[in-house]
This record gives sequence, C-alpha cells and structure tokens, in this order.
Amino acid sequence: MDHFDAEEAETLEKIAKLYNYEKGLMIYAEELADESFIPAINEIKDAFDHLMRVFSVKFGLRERDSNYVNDNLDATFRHLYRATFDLLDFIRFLQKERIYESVKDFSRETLVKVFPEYYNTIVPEIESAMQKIPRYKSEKDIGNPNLESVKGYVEIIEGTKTHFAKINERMPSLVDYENRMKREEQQKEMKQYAIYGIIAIVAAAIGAIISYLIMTPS
Amino acid sequence: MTKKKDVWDIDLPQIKFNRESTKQQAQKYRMGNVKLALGRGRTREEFEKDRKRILELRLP
Repeated sequence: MDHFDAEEAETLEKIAKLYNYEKGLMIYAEELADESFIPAINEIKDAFDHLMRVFSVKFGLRERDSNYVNDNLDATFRHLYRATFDLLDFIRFLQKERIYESVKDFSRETLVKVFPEYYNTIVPEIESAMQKIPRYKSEKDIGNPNLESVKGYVEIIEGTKTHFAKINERMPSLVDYENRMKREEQQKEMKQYAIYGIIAIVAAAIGAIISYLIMTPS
Repeated sequence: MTKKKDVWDIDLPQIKFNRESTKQQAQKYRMGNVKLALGRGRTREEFEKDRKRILELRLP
C-alpha cells in the first residue's frame, strides 16, 4: 500500500473530524423527524464513493497520479460538508417547528409569568439560528469551507437542543397555570352571566309592576 | 473501438425516494435502511414545502 503524504493525511483528518459532526447531526435529525433525510444520505454515498477511488489507487488496484488522489479527497470533504449543511438547515427548521408545537397552546401571559426564559432567551436564539446558519446552495453561499464555522453552527443547534429539556421541565407548571387561568376566566364569565340574569329578572319585574300600575284604573 | 469507462470513476445514481411506492413494495426494500423501507424518508422537495410552512410559523 502507498502511504498518504502530509497534505493527504491532513485532508483525511479534516474529513474524519467533519464526519464526526455530520454523523451526530444525522442521528439527531432522525430522532427529531423520525425519518431519514434523503439529500444527506445521497451526499454521504457520494463522499464514500470518492474516498474509495482514493483507496483504489493507494492499494494499487489502479494507477493514478497524486492530483487524482487530492481531487478525490477534496470531493469527499465537499460532499460531507454539503451533507452537514443540509442537515443543519433541516434541523433548525425541525427545532423551530417542535418548539412551536410544544408552546402554541399556552397564552402569552402564561409564558411570561411561568417561563420568562422563553421570551428572554429561547425565542431570540431560535430566530437567530434561522438567520445565522446559511443554506448550502453553492460554494459562494458558504464561503471558505472550514471546520470552525461548522463547529459554531453545531453549537447553535446544541444550544436549542437544551431548550427542549427546559420546556419539558416547565411543562407541568405551564399546564397548571394555564388551567388555573382558564378556570378563573370561566368563573368570571359565570359571575357576569349571573349578574346579567339578575338584571334581566329585576328589569322584567319592574316592567311588570309599571305595566300593572298603568293598566290598573285608579 | 470505444474505450470502456473505468467503473471507479462513474458517479453513483442518486437515491430516488417515493414514499408511497416504497410502502407498496416494501418486500423489495427489506435489505436496506429500515426507515426507508418503511417509507419514512424526507426528500428535498418535501423539505422545501415544509420550510415555507415553518418559516411562516410565528412562535407565540
């Protein structure tokens, strides 16, 4: 077997580090969606294909120059990079939808009173994730591919992940407060109906008395 | 005589996924990914529709 030179080894290391991020995102995306995201699977399939082209040369199955090896290592990285950004994009939308589904039935008052962190931290961070993570449409959308930016975007996703735990933790208090609010609202309405009822009865009685007095000859 | 293209350098075809036909022909897919065999996959086209819908959601 031919050994990898320093440049090739460096690219392979980047590929391994990127795959670590990508795999974590893929597992998390499947947990959230309960479905496999096909575009990312296609990219991984292509990345594997390019990597095998490199091994075919290194194991002497065929002869190609070092440019061929480097081009295919770069292509492996690019496919994994694209899979990673496809997953980041997919996950941020799923996270927003899941958080929306969790809190949509609570009133603003309940959220403010019981869960102030929701408006102070969670909503701004979700909105920021929607703005900050770029979509991968072409090389120019992403700029210079590097692992540092991937790490930063993965941290945004991880941050939102912790919010789910907080929302679940607060869920019993939110439900309790919301129910209490609804009960108080219902009681208030019942009191109001009772007052309207009494007013109606009194008005009817007064009306009856007045008409009796008018109709009765003096 | 045309030279046969090296199979190593031929790009693999993309996975074409159709939820309904996969479910109908589940037997044929039982060797692969379990989720896909059950018709549980999301295509880019489906995600594009979801993304428009979710973008319009306003968090309470």
